[in-house]
Amino acid sequence: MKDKDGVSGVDSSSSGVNRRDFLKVGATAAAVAGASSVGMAESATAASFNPKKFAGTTVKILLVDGERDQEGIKDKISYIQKTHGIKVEVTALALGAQLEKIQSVLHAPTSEYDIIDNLGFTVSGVVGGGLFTKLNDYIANKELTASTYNYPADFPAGQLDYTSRYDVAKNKFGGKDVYLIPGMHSGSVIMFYRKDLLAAAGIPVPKNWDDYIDAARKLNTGGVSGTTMIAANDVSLILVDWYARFASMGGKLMSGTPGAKNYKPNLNGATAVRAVQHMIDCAEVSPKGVGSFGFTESVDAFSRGDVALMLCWSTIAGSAFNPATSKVASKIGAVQIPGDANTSGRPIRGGWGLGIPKNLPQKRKDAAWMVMQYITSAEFDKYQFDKYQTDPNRRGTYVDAALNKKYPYLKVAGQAMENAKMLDVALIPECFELVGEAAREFNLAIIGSQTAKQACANAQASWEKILKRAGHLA
Amino acid sequence: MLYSLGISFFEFDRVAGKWNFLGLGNYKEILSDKVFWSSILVTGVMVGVALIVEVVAGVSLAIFFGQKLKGSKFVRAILITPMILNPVVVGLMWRALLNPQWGLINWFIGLFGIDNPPIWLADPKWTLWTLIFVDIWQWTPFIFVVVFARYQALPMDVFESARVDGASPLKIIRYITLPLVSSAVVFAAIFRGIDSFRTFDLVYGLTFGGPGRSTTTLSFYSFENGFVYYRYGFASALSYIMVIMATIGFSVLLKWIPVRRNH
Repeated sequence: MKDKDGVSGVDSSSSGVNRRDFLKVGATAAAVAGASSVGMAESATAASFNPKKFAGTTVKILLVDGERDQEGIKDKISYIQKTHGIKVEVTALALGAQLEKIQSVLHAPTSEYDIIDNLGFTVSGVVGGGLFTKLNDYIANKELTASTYNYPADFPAGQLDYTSRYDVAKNKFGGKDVYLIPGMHSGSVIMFYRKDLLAAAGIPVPKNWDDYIDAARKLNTGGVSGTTMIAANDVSLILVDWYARFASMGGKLMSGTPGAKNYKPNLNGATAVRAVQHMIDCAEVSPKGVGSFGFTESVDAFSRGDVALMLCWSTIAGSAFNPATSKVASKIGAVQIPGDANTSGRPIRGGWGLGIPKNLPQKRKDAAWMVMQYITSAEFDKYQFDKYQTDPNRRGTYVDAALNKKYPYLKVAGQAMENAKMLDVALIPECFELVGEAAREFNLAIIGSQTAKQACANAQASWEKILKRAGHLA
Repeated sequence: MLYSLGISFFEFDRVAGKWNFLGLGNYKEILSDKVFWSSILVTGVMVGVALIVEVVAGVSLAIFFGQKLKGSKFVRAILITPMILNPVVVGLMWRALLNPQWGLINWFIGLFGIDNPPIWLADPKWTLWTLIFVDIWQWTPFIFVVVFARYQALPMDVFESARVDGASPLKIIRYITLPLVSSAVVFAAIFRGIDSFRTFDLVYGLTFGGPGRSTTTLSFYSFENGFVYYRYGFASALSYIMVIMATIGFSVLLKWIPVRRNH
């Protein structure tokens, strides 16, 4: 559906909500969250919650580096020490190293870290492996959880079924058991564009993929590239740019189920090929060397004012709206990603979930919960977004009036977040391997070493081999 | 070592949290894996080309600086800087230098009127050679330092006698200097060859094995399987194959290169 602003909306008939519903839900959540922000630290007097119950302990947190997640916590270390009496230590590692570290600490006799941040695409492997503490009892316990915490109401439903609830027995997302709390950031993919350039060229904001490439070609002039992409041999090539195109062109990535051993990819179908071809076409009007661009290079080029259109994780590119880090902060607009007729611009669901390792003594788990509760609170969510523009985890933050005034893309990011779609292969632990193989093939197509059709056929063959080896495809 | 040998016969099931015995399954899979064979080729080219250039350049520099020219101490100090840099820093530095939009290298090439210089890290025609170039830049100083140290310890009267007997500078290098430093050259070459065979950090920092598999070395492939895809058994088996290859390769090399014990 499209709203009167011309913003590409979302399909309210699917699992999502439209903007009006979203704002309504958010307003309620905001009211509760507002109360929460006041009460979190001082709520020792309310009910029997006492944030200082585990004072004198140390809580170690493991996060990913490069996504600004650790910054807010570092700012608040002395505040947490004051309000909770707990010393907090933060370690942030590059993604690969962090994933590796998580595997080793979760399988050690006792975890080195008390709180671990988990990438959504790895949840089936780590939470599915029964390596995290179930949090239901903590959330229900009034002595250990502030009455204003507002879980689950203040969190987008789709995110809860992705980076929070998991059915370990059936090894599937969702269910009633809570193992993670959405954080340090959530988010999805939205489209960023230069309002001034589109207006000067008399081009409307693209609403479908043909419009997108047409606009990119017309805007590719005067030292500005029409578009940019994550086109390097990097998983985000698939997760951001390819999947956004593929899913909103009507593509269906997988058929069958892993359990039935008929889990088959559809990577060599017409839609998959068209999505790769669209990226190849976009590369012609992208900055030179786009084939080596990860999201940092793309966002940097956009923030320098060298690019007119860009799809990106909202949590990464939000900094383009910050005058301190962007030359074009006041000239940018953001909308939902384009979608073809009969489909919606439905992007991939991203985000992380914070959990407490199972291999910890009870006292460390309890102290970890107190800290985790604070860093996933409404108060902290707003602080972190306002200062560092990482995507919020709570509905109340997405609809916060003051924050929306300052960062106009926030409500768009919130809508994308409510309606985002989980990557199909996130169901299985081989997710990263599959995505990596496809990224490698599509990167070769974008830099001209093979055609879109060859890339898709090669990716299909790789995926089938991996799925057969893992026992998901007979 | 024994533990990793053991797990090369297993595969870890992350969801069930248990090891499944595969026997020689991982080894069989590796030998029928196209990427394994292409990684051998990439590693072979990288070790071969880089080592030859590093040895030739390192020895030449050692002999050149052995002449004790004015200001050579200062230049020598600068020359060995790349070797002491952290590999991650080297990767980041070269990524910046080779950036197609604002990198110094392409800007410099542009000064000569070349409008479309290569995209060094994204074009499969260039990536492996770029990687080799950076490896040479970083590690030639190592060969230089080892050979130079040996050269400095040589008795000067041998060279004096040769000069008195009328030997030309080239003949002195060919018949006196090179034989006398050959043990140091072989030591440095083998040490460097083994290190180059294990090259991982430079690939990780510069190309992450791509584009495609154009810069996937054996070490990187092992890392990728072990620590990105968590195929610990497969990665261990791959590492053991590398150990066997390195042992055979360098044993042959040691027999092939004669090193004089007495001069």
